[in-house]
Parts: sequence; C-alpha cells; structure tokens
Amino acid sequence: MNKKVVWIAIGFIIIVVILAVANNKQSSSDKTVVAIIPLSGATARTGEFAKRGIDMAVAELKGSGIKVVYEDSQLDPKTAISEFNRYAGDKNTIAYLTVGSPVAMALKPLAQQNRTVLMSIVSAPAYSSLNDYTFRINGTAQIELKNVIQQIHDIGAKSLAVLYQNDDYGKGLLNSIKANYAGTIVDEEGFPADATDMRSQLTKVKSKNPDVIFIAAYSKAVGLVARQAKDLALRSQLICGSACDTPDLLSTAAGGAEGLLVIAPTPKANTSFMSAHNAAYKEDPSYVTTRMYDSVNLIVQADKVCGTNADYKSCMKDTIHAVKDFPGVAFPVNFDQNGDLQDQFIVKKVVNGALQIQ
Amino acid sequence: MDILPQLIVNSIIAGAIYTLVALGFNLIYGTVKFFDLGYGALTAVGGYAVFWLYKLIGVPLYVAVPAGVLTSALIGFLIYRLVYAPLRTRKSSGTVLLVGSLGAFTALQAIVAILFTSQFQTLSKDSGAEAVYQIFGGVITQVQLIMLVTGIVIMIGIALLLKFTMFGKAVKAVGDDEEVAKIVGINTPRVIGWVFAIGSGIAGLAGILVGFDTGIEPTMGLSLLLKGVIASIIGGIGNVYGGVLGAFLLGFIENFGIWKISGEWKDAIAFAVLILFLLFRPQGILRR
Repeated sequence: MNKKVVWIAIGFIIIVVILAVANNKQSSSDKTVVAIIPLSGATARTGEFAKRGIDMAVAELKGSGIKVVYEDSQLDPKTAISEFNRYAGDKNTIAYLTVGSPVAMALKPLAQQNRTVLMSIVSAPAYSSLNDYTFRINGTAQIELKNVIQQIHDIGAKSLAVLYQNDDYGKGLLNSIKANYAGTIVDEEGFPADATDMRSQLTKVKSKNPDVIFIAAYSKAVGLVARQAKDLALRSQLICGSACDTPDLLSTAAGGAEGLLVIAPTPKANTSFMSAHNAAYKEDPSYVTTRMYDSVNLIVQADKVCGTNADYKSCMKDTIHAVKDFPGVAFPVNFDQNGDLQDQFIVKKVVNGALQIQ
Repeated sequence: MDILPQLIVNSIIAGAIYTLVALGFNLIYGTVKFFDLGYGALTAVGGYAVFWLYKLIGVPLYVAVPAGVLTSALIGFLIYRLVYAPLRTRKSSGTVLLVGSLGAFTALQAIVAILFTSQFQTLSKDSGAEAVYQIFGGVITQVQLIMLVTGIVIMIGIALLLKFTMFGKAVKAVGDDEEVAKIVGINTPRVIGWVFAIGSGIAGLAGILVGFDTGIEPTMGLSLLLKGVIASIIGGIGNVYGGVLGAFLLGFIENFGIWKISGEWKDAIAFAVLILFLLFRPQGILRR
C-alpha cells in the first residue's frame, strides 16, 4: 500500500508541475492587468459592478497587447496579498485594480515595494499618499463629506445624528463629520458591519429627535436602517454616502427608503457607454463600473506612452499622475498630488421607489 | 424615558428571534449531546427555499413557507443520516462530531452561496404594505408579532410533545441515556432522526421569519446560531423552557445594556453574559 501511495504522490506532483509550467508559458507574452476584486462574499455585488466596467473596457482592447486576469479577493487582505504575490514576480504584470479598503490598504505597501501601479476603489483616508504608485479612482471621504455637509445645510437641518458601521469606512466618515460639521451632533451609534438589526440604535436616535440622520454604511445596512426607521416611525431625514449607492439599496429597503438622500459620485456617463451598459446588463451603471472602465483605459494609455521606456514602472506611475482632463466616460479625469481622483458628486433621492438625480 | 416602551418591545422582538433558534437547537442538543453547528446553516436553507419558491417562481406564500420548513427538515435529517449517524456509530468523540457539524455548516453555506449568490435578499415584496402595531407606546410589525406568537406556539408544542406522547418520552429517554434506551427497545436512530428533522424544520422556520423581518444571506446562520446557543446556555442547555427564558433574557440584556452606551457594544455584552454564566452558573437558570 505504501508503494502505491508514493507513486500516486509522485504522479500528482508531476501533474502539478506540468500544469504550472504550461500556465506560465501561456501568460509569458501578454502584458497583464490583475483585477483583485471581491467576486464572492458579502461585497460580491460591488465586485460584479467593477468587473462590468473592466469587461467593457477589455472588449475594446483588442490588439493592445494587454489582458486582464481576475482574482477573487473575497475582500480578505490575506487572500488578496497571496494573489498579488502570485503575479508580482511576473515582469508582464503592469498594474493592479482592486476594490475595498481592507484589500487596498493591504496591497498598498506591496504595490509601492513592487513599483507597480495600483488603482483602487477605496474609502480609507489613509490610502492617500504623495506621488506614489497607488491611485484612488473614487472621491475621497473629504470630498464626499463636504457634499454631505452642504446637503445638510441646504435642507436647513440644525441637529444631526450619525449611524455608522464599525469599520474603516464608517468610523472614518464619523470622525470626518465630527471634525467638519459645525452644527449639533446629538447622537452617534455604531453597529457591526454585518448587522441586520439596528432597531436598538434607531430607538436611541429617535429619542434625540435629530433633523437629519447620516448613515455611514454600505447599501445593505442603509437599506435595513431605512426600513427599520420607517417601522419605528422615525421622522428624521435620512442621508447616506457613496457606499450606499448600489442598485440593491432599494431591494434591501423593500419600500422603506422613500425620501432617502444619497450623496454619491456621479454615475453619469456618455450616451454610448450608457447604451452599451444597459444593453448588456439591463440597468444603469454604478459609478464603480464607470471608474473601473476609465482606469483600464488610463492604464492602456499609459502603456502606450511608456512601452519602450527603460524604467517602465516609474514611467507608468508618472504618466498616470500627470494626466490632464483624460476623457473619462463621466467627466474629464484628473488626479491630485496624492493620486486621488477629483471626483464629482451628486445628490439622489428615492422618489416613488426609484433613485432620482436631484 | 420615552424610549422605554420601544426598548421593551425591541427586547421582546429579539427574544422572539432567539427563541425560535434556541428551541430547535435545544431539542437536538438535549437528545444527542453535541453542538450541531450545521443547525445554523439550516436557517439559511429555509429562508432561501422560500425565496426561490415565493419570489423567484411565484408560488403562493401558504405553500412556499411549509415547503421551506420541510426542505430544512429534510436536509437536516439527511445530514444526520449521512454525517452524524456514521460518526456516532463509530463512537466518535464530541470534538469529532463538532468538527463534522462545522463541515456540514460550511458546505451548506457554500452551496447556498453558489446557488443564489451572496447578495442580501429580502423575502417581503413590499415592506411599505406591512401592518405596524402600537403596543403601549412601542411599535411592532406584523412579521415580528407572528415571530413572537410562533415561538410561543412551538414552545408549547414541543413541551406537549415531550410530555404527553410516546415519541416525546422516547426522546427524553434517549437524551437521558441512549444505551439504556436501546436496551429497553427504543429505536434510537429513528428517534434521533426525527429529532433532527423537527429541530431542523424549526431552524428553517426561524430563517424564513427573519427573512421577512430583515432579510437573508448565505452567512446568516452563524450569528443566529451563536445567539441561540447563548440563549440556551443562559436558560439551561437541553431545557425547552430554559431556552425560551434565556432567549428573552438575552434580548433584554442586549437592548438595555446599550441604553446608555454605543450600540456597537451589543454583541460584546451578549458574549460577556455568556462567559459569566459559563463561569458561575454553567447549568443555566433552569436545569434540564
């Protein structure tokens, strides 16, 4: 029996080595952009939106000599690091794309060390750093908060309560709003990022009777908060930020989100992009889709400029930093010195069960 | 103090959810004496069965809900026959059974995620149409009221089953001493199979009601299971009434515990109470 086991093990090892070599050979001639995005788990929907934008850009890439490979981050830093390292040694890896603060923050030092461009949809304020290989392709929390506070002023609110999910995103927004909001914050209540019952927190907030409740959370939590707030007959105006701006906000709220205000990066895109997206996916694009689409095109453009440069990696970084009014599908793309996109925000409102731009 | 009525109602609602989970868990644990982690995933199975039948196919609710409960019951029974029964026949230790149940939990959860994706889903088609009631200044929705009544009905049903039926006596006998139960002629594998089916059906019903109240996702089982376990331990593991008492006590502790502090401490408070009971009153409030 022992001999049999040994021969089976040897055979298995030989097969694995052959497959690994073959796989390596297949990829050796293509420049690769690695998309490490959540394709499963709680944020799979956001990953799907990102993939749509990437797929649409890839469909137009024929002849560019660049391909995109997908790895499922599961929004888990350890998984993402393992996937990053798998491609880090390959000289054909020219850039990474990712979604989500936990993963982006984990990959940031690796991208810097590896001198490879990393473009991320990320909310963590600490992601921003001066003139390095990492780029934020969505609006910073500061820009988002400025728009949120402006909206609070515009509706004449005097008192504010904050409901936040207990993670980098939620706490980051909470701290920012506490630092920047000049009015009265009457209550702040946290909940775990995966919570589904926020009635206790809402009951406490209701007793303080704020004019506005800002919900610093992702769309699932915001939808549930809206629904439970309606059940509890809360009269405060509900406002949420960019992370709640996904199509499943309304399905989760199941009719409870009427009147909710969403401050989000503009999802507007040019007519041809909108038509192509709606034809393929039967719904309007999320801003995640448009930003990822632009990111792939930015990388392709930078590759055209840097293709024969002796220091290709540095050139890619500098070229993307230096873009001026790059023709994105929503608006001309520019980055600040920290590699943060100069995003544009809009206000949407849930009216008759649908999100309408105000 | 004007939030007091709503805090009480919130506590009762939470207690009702935990009651449903604790009832089935306690029934199973009281009989076979190991922590069946797979039980948690059956809440998702029930919820998704109704999601598929009611929301995707359009089957009427009065057919979809019983079908969802039966689906959970059947899958729970199959897990027992295919995983736990062989392990128990080999006299596997509690640790091995626990690991086996963890495998069942993970596998079921993964299958649900593959079939339905990980997206959060709601079972209700329009919460705006749901009736809401005022009780002494607190608000409770129709689904929450149904959850509360269902928990009480099931508790009474199980108590009557265990006390007044031959099957119930057999269940108690197996729970007391399986070997002696075999000797006196009780078909213990059959009794245990039924216990798993009934307990799993209750888990499925819990998942369905939670699905209507908040929503469903493949990973919903773990947090529900943990709360059910805490409720069972607080109330008295293996005791039907103890599980219910523990569930409502947990609901009150959680909601009143965060009255003056931030809501994110809720889970920490629940687990702190669990640790205190394990240290100072491991048998729970009511003995088995």
